[in-house]
Amino acid sequence: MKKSILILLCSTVLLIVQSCKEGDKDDNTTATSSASTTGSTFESGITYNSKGKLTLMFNPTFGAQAFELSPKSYVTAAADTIRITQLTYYVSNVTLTTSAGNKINLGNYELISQIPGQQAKVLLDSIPAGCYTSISYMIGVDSLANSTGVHTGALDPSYGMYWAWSTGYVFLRLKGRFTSQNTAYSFDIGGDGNVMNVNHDLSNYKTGGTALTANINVDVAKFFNTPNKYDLKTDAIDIHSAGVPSIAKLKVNIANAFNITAIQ
Amino acid sequence: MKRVNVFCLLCFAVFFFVQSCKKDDEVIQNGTTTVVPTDTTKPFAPTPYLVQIPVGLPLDYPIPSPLDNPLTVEGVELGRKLFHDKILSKNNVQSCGSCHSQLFGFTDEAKQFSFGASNQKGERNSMPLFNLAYVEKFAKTDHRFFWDGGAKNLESQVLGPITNPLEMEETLTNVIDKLQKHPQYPALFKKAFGSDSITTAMLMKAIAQFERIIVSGETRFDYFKLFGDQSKLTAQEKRGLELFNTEEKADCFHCHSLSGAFMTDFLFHHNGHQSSDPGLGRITNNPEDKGKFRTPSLRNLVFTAPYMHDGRLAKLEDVVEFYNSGAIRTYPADPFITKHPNGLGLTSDEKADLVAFLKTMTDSTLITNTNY
Repeated sequence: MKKSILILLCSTVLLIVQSCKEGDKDDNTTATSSASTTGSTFESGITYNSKGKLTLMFNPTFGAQAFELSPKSYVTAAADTIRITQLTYYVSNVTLTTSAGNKINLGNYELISQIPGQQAKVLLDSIPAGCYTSISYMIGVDSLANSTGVHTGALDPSYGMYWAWSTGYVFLRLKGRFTSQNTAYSFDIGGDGNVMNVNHDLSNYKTGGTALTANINVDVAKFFNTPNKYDLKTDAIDIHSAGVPSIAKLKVNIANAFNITAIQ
Repeated sequence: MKRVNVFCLLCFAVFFFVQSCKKDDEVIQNGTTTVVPTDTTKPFAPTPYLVQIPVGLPLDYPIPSPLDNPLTVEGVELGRKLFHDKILSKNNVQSCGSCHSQLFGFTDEAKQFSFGASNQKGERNSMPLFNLAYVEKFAKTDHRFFWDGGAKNLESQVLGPITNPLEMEETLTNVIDKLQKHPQYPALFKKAFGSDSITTAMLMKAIAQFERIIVSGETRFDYFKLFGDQSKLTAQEKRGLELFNTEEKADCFHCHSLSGAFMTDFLFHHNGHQSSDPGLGRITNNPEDKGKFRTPSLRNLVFTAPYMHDGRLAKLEDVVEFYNSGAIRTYPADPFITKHPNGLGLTSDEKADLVAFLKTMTDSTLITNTNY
C-alpha cells in the first residue's frame, strides 16, 4: 500500500515536471491546463524572468488575401473596388500592463510603412522582468509630441507624415485608386482627437522567454467594414483634416483591424 | 652622407610628430597631411544671444524661447542666413524674405497677395513678422501662427511656407539635401547645433530663433503711454486715441487693447468681413470658428499695408471706414461688431483723427535694425 502511494506520488511529480517543460515552450494550449496545478510554469500573459525584448511584427492582409500594392485590386464590404498605393502609420506609446495592473510605457515613436515583402516591425527592448497581461499602443502620436517640437527620429517632418498648415502629424495614411469610379481616395487621419488606441489582451497567452515576437495582423478589409461599413460612394474619399465626419467611422474600424495572431 | 640623410629623416619625423600634436584636426594619411574638418576636442558650447528689448515691450524678462531651442548667436545667425536664402524654395527662386521684406515690416511690399515659386498666386496677405516670441507666451490657445492659427509654435510654422504649394513649394527632403550639399551650411549647422548632419528639426529651430529676435516697441505712443510724455502725441492723435478707447465711438480696444504691449488680444474673431475663407474654422473644424482670423498687432501699420487677412483694404483710411460702415453687423460677425448695428457713425474728422493715432505706433527701427 505504502509502495503504491509512493509510485503515485512519483508519477505525479513526473507529470508536473513534464507539463512545466511544455509550458516553457511556446505552446499555450498545454500551458493552460498546467498553469493552475503548478507554480513553475508561465502565468496567464507573457512573462519575462529577466529584462527582455518584444518585437511587434505588423503583417497586413486584406481579409484572407495577401497584402499587395497597386495594381492588385480588392473589393470592400461596400462592394467598392480599390487599389492601395500607400499604407503608412505611426505606432507610439507602446504600453505593457502587468497582471497587477502596473503600466509601463516604453515611449517609442515608430513610423510603419507597409510594403509587401518588407518586414514592418517595432522592436521593444529593455522590457523589465514581469508578467504582462495586455499591451496597448496608439496608431498615431500623443498630443504632447503632436504639438511641441520633437521632430526628430521617426517624427522628422520630412517623412511627409506632417501637417505644416495645422501643426501635427498624419497618424495614418491610406491612399490609392477607387477603381469602381475611376478616381482616387486618400485618407490622412490626424488631429489629437483622432488617435486610434489599440489594446491587445494577452491573458490567453501563457508564454515567456527573453526575446518574444508578437505577430499582429493588420486587416485592411476591416478598415472598410468592422464594425462600421465604410462606403466610398457615400463616405468621404478625401480626408486631409481632422474634422471630416467620416473619420469617426474609420478610426474605430482601424483600431479594430489590429489583432495579434501569435506570440512566439 | 648617410648619417646626414638619417639625421634629416629624423628631423622630418620629429617635425611631423610635433605638427600632428599641435593640431587635432590634422592627421597624416599615406605620408601627406590631411585637414579633417572636425573639432571633436572642443565641447559644443554656442554663445547665448541677447536681444535688446525695446522700451514698449516687457522689460522684466528676456525674449521668450522654448527650453529645447534657446537663442544662440550661432543659431540666430544661421536662421538669418536661411531666412534670406532662396535655397529653401523650389528651383531656388525665392526666400522667406522675398515675401517678408524688412522694409515693409516683414510683409510683401504693398501686394495684396504674394506669388509662389512657380509664380502662383497666394490666398492670404503676407503677415508682418515681429514680436512673434511673445505670441507663444501670451496666446490663450495653441492656435498661434498664420492668419488661421494653424501653427502651434514657431518651429512648426517654419515648415508651412516652405512646403505650401502656393508658396515656396519645396519638399523637406529636397531642402535638407540641398543644405547638406552646400559648401557652407553643414559647418554652420554644426556651430549652431553641434552636428553637421542637417535635420529638419535643426532647420526649424534655426529659422524660429531668427524670427524670435525680431522685436518692435520703440514708438511715440510707447513713450506717451509709459512715461506720460505729452509732447509725443499731437492733439489730433490724442483725439484719435480717445476715440479708439471709447465704446460708443471707434470701440477698437476690446480686441486691440492698448493696456498690454502688443495691441492684440491674441485671439481670433470674425470682424464682419465678406470672405469665404474659413480661417480658424479650417483648423478646428468648429462651425463657430468659421471666418475667424487672428487679431493682428496694430504696431507698424504704416509699413504693412494692405490690411486684413486677404489684403482687401489698401489704406488705413479704408480700414477705419470698414469698421465704420463696411462690416457685416450680423452673425457670424463677432459681438463686438454686431453690437453696432448701424455702424460706428464716425465723422470724417474723427476718422482722420483715428488714422493719425494709428500711425503713432510706428517703430522705424524695425525696418533699419541691421541685426535682421
